[in-house]
Amino acid sequence: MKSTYSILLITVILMSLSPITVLSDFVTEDGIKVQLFKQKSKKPISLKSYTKNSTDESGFQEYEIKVNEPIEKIVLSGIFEDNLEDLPYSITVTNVLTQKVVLFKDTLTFGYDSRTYSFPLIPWIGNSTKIPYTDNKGEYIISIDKVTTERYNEDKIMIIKYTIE
Amino acid sequence: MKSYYSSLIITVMLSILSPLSSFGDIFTDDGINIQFFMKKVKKPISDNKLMEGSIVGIGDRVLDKIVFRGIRDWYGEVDLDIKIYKEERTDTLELIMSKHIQSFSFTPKTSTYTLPIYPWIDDIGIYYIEIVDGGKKLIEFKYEIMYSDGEG
Repeated sequence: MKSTYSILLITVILMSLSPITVLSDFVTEDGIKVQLFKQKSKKPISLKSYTKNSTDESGFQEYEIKVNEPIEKIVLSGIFEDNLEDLPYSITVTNVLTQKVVLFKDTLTFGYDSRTYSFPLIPWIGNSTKIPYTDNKGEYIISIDKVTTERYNEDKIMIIKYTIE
Repeated sequence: MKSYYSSLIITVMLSILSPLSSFGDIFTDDGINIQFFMKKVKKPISDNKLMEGSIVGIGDRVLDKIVFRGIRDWYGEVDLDIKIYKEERTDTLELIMSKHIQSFSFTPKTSTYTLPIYPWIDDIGIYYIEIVDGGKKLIEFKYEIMYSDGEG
């Protein structure tokens, strides 16, 4: 009887812990999973590596991450269930110092087919080589926006401040 | 004698024409070779085609990458600006990709520097790609991705 209670207790504890695994990914209010990957790493960077700056009522999230080596790629995937409408998003990477757009893509859709996009960041940001070239360093903002019909009126849903030290 | 002259003429013509083979490449003053590759194609896009001012991508045949290669031992500062603009419906150009390369080791063994274009650019539309070397425009061309059969 005692062992039955022990098993039950362990099961309850495990069930209550399971949502923590989900926390290892950024998931926006719209159900878009955002993952950053280091070079030669199959696992996404853990959520613990980020500093959460803010979240507002609309679901907007701002995170910050500082790394020594540039991040290899960013992966965005829709975790919608079926029968939801395709939603258009854009991703913009801006160099904070020069205020120049480094990378931009405005036709991401998530929804019916729950698409996954994998975008290389290296060497557009930083350099693939280990040699510490000056163009490895810098501060960037990765912004994920919901595209509305009105240009320049995009709804920011997520920002990652990304610094290569 | 006639055949000797014929072969001489052919040799002379070939030696004149042979530099054309290097026309498939673009070089900076520092000896950096720049090549553009389409997806699933091993040979770079010919310089003649680039100099015409425009290339077209259809379906899976889209621009895959830009490769920078050192052709001699050299390390130091470079001043290369790579910019890609997209033409908007309003006939304005929007900067969608930019990279400034300021230092790199261009040696024959460790020289290759690849900038992936795909999948950042794979949508139907008109793009302009320019590379500026030390303030001097090295190349600029229009890149248009069109509908493939069965699309649109």
